[in-house]
Amino acid sequence: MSRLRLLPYRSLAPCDVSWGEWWLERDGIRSPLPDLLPGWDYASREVIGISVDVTDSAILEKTGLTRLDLIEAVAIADCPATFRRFLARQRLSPKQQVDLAVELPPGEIAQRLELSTFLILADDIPPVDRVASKRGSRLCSGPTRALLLEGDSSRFPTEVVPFSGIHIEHAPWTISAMFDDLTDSFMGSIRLLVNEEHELGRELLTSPVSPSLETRVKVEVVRSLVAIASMQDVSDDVEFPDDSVGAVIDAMCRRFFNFSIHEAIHVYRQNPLKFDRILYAGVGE
Amino acid sequence: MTESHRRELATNDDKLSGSALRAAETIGERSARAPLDWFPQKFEPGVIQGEGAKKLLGTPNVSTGELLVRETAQNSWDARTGREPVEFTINLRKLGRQTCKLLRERVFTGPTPGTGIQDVLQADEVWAVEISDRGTVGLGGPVRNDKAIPPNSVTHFIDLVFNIGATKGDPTSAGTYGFGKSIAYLVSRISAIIIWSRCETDQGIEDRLIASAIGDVFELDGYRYTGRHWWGKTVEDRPEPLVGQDAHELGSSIFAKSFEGSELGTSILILAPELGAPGPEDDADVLANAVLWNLWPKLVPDDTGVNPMIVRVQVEGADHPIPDPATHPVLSGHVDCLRAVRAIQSGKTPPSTLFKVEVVEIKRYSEVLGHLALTKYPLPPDLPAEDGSHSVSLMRHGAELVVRRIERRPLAEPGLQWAGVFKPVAILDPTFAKSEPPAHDDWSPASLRDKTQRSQVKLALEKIQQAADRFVEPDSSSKSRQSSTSAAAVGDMLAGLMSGALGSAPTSAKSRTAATRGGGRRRNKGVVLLGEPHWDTCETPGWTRTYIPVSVEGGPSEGSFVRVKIGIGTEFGTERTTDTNFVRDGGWVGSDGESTALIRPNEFREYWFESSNQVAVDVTTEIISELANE
Repeated sequence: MSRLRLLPYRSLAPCDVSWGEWWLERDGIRSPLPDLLPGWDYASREVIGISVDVTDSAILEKTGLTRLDLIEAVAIADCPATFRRFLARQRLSPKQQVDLAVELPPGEIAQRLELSTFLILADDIPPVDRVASKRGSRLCSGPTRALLLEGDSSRFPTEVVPFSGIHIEHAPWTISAMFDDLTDSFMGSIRLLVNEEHELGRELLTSPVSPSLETRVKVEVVRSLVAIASMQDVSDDVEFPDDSVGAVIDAMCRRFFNFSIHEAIHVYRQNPLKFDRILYAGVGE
Repeated sequence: MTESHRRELATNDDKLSGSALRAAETIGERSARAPLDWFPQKFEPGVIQGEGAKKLLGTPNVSTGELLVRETAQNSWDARTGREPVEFTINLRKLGRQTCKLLRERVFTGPTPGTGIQDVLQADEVWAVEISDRGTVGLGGPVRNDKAIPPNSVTHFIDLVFNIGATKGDPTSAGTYGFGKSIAYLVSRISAIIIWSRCETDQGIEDRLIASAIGDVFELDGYRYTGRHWWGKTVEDRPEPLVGQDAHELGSSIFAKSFEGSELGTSILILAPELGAPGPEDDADVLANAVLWNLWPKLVPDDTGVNPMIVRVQVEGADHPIPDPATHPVLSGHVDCLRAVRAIQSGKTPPSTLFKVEVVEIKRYSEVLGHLALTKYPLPPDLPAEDGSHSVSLMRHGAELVVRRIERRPLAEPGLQWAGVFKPVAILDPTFAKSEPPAHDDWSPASLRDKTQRSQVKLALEKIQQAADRFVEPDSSSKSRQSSTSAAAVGDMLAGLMSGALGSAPTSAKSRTAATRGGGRRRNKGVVLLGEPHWDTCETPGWTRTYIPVSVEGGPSEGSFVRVKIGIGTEFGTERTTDTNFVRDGGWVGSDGESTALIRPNEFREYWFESSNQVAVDVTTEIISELANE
C-alpha cells in the first residue's frame, strides 16, 4: 500500500530540506540519539533535538512564499502512552542552521516517543493561489522516527528519595524489600533507595561513578539481598519462578560466589566474616 | 480523704473487725470452717517453673499499670454475656488487720516458702487491687484440667487458674486467659492473687474461690517444687476451688464487691500491688490514665448512646475520676475518628464533627482490609507539638481495645495536632487477632504462617503509615515520591547483578522489531509508486483539480490491478468518510469510472480528483489482485 498526502498549497519534498540527525544532550554534550534512550527513567529530564539546514532561494521558489522568516521549523516528540506532546519551534533565517531542542520533563513520558519534524507557515498571510496562507500550514514533513524509553532489559530497580521524607535513617542508600515469599516478583518487591540528601548518595547519582564507589554499592546490595533472603526458609532443592526474588538472588549468588542461594545463606549465617571475604572477592573483581 | 472514703474504709474493715454484727457473725461462721488447703506444685516432666510463668508476657511495649488494665479489661470484655453492659471496676483498697489475719489463717495456709506472703500478711494493713467484672459469664467449665473436657464445654476456670498460655476458642477475642492472668502476678509484689467467680453450671449458679501465687523454686521434705501454689480444696491430690456457699461466704468476707442476686462475673484480688506510684491516690491516677489511654474506645458510647463498657477506677470504693475522652484535649481527635470508622463499617454516614474527619479504605489489591480515619484539630496552647497527638490508634473490629499507636511526625502547621484510628473489617478480625503477641500490644505479620494473612496485616500496617504520612505532610510527602533525580543510570550500572532477569530498561529486541516493521516485503509482489502530482484549474472557485501519476514497480509482467482511495487528511490520519463538500473523486483518466486499473510494470496511469483548497487530501493505493493475468 502506498500513501501520499497532497496539500492544497505548494509544499516541499523532504529532500528539499537538509534535516540533521536527532541528538541527545546530557551535561552539555551532544551525542547522536540512539534508538534506545540509555539511562532514562521517570525522574529523568532530557533534552533531544535536531538541526535543520535550508537553502532560502529553493524553499521560497517551491513554496511560493516571499520571505524565509514566514517559515517555522518544528520538532515534535509525541508520547502515545501519556498523550503528551513536546515541541520546539524556531523561525528560519537566511543562511542559518536552525537548532531545535525539545525538553522532555520528568514524569510525563513513558514507553516510547514518536519524533517528527516539520516546516510550517508561521503567520497568516493573504491568500495567493496555491500558496499556503494559514498559520500552521505544513510546508514540509521531515523524517520521523521512534525513540524507545522502556522495555524489559535488566535494570536494577532503583529510586532516588530524600530519606527524611520517608522517615528512615540518614544512610546513603538502602534496600527496600516488600515481599511475602521468595517466589514473588523481584521487580515488584525490591528497590534500591538512594538518599539524595546524603553526600555519598548524591555522589552515586552523579556520572561518572568512581569504580570504588560502584564496587562498594554492588557489594552492599548483594550483602543486603542475601541478608533479606536469609530471613526466609530456603531449602537446598527449592526452585524459584523466573524473575522472582529467589531466582534473581540465586543467580546472583551463583555468578559471584559459585554458590546456590541456600549455600550463600548458610555461609552468611554461620560465618559472616567469611561471607564478607567471598563477597568482596566475587563482586569486587 | 473524703467522708465517703472514710465510710467505705470503715465498712470494709468492719466486716472483719467485729464492730458490725453481720461481720462478726460471718467471721464466727468462717472460724468454724476449715482453712483452704495449700497445694504447692511439685516438679514433674513438662511443668513450667513459676518464674517462667510470670515471663510469659514477653517484653510488652507498655507499663505494668497499662498492661494490667489492658489484659484484665480484655478478658472481661471477652467474657461479656451480651445481655447487659460489662461493668469493669478496679478498686484500690486497704485490707485491715482482721482481713490480713483471715487471709493468713484461712486462705494462704501452709509455710508458703519462696513467696513472702506470710511476711506481708503480718502487717496491720495491706493494700490490694480488687478487679471485678459483672455482666460477664464468670469462670465456668470444669475445675480440673486433668480430665477430659465435655463437648461444647467452656474452660474458663481452668484456663485462668491452671493452664498457662491456653488460648480462647473464639479467634476474635482479644484476651487469652493463660497469658493475661500472669500480669496479675506481676503486679503483686508477692505474686499472690485470690479469684472469686460466679458462673452457670449444670447444677445452677455456682460460686468458686481459689487463691494462687507464684514464688521461687523451693525444696521441702526431699521434693523440689516449681514455686507455683494454689489454695483451695484438695481432691484426689489435686487443687480444686472452694465452691458453693462456702466460697460465697469466704469471698464476701475478703472482697469489697459481692455478687447481688443472680449476678455472674469474676473478681480478682491482687495483694500488695506495685504500680510504680508513691501512694494509693497516685496509683489510682496511674490506673485512671491507663484506662483513659487504653480503654478509651470503651468509654465512647455507640450510636444508640450506650457505653460498651462501664469502667470505674476506685480508691476504697469511691470513684476516682476518669477524664472523658470525647472532650480530652488530645484524645478527642481519636474519638472523632473512631466514630467515623464505626459509622462507615456499619454502613452509616459518619457523624458531623467540628473538625473534618477523612476516612480512607486500606486495601490489598481490591480487597478492603479496613478503614482508617484521620483528622486534624487544635493543639492546646500550653501543649508542645510533641506532646499532642500524632498517632494512629490501631484496634480490632470487635474488641475495640487499643492494640498500639503508630507514631508519626507531628503536623508542621503550628497549633494543630492530628489523630487517626484504624479498624480492620469484621471478616479480617481473626487474622489481625492471630498476629498479636501474648500482650496484645502489636500486630506482627511475621507471626502469621499463612502467606495471604501475613500479607494482609503487613500491607495494612504499611499503608496506614503511608496514608498517615501523606495526611500529615501532603506536600513534602508528594515531593519525596517525585524526586527530580533519575536513578536509571544507577539501575543500569547494577543491571549486571540481576543476571539477565527482566527489568525496565529499553529492549534491543523490541527496537529491532520496530526498525524492521513493515520491511518484510515480498520480492515478487508489485509496488505502487505515486509520481509528482500536477494541478489544473477547477470550475468551482476555491477548488483545484489534481492529477497523480500512478505506476507499478515489479509484480507480474501482465500487470496488477490497482485501486486508489481518496480521503480528507487530518492530523490524526484519513477521515473514514469523504465529504463531497470538500473532495470529489474523479477516477482513472480515460476510464468510465472503474474503481481499479490494470497497470503493467513501468506503465503510468493517471488518477484525478478535485478538492477544496481548504483541505489536505490523502491518496492511498493498493494492489488488489495480481492473479488476473497470471
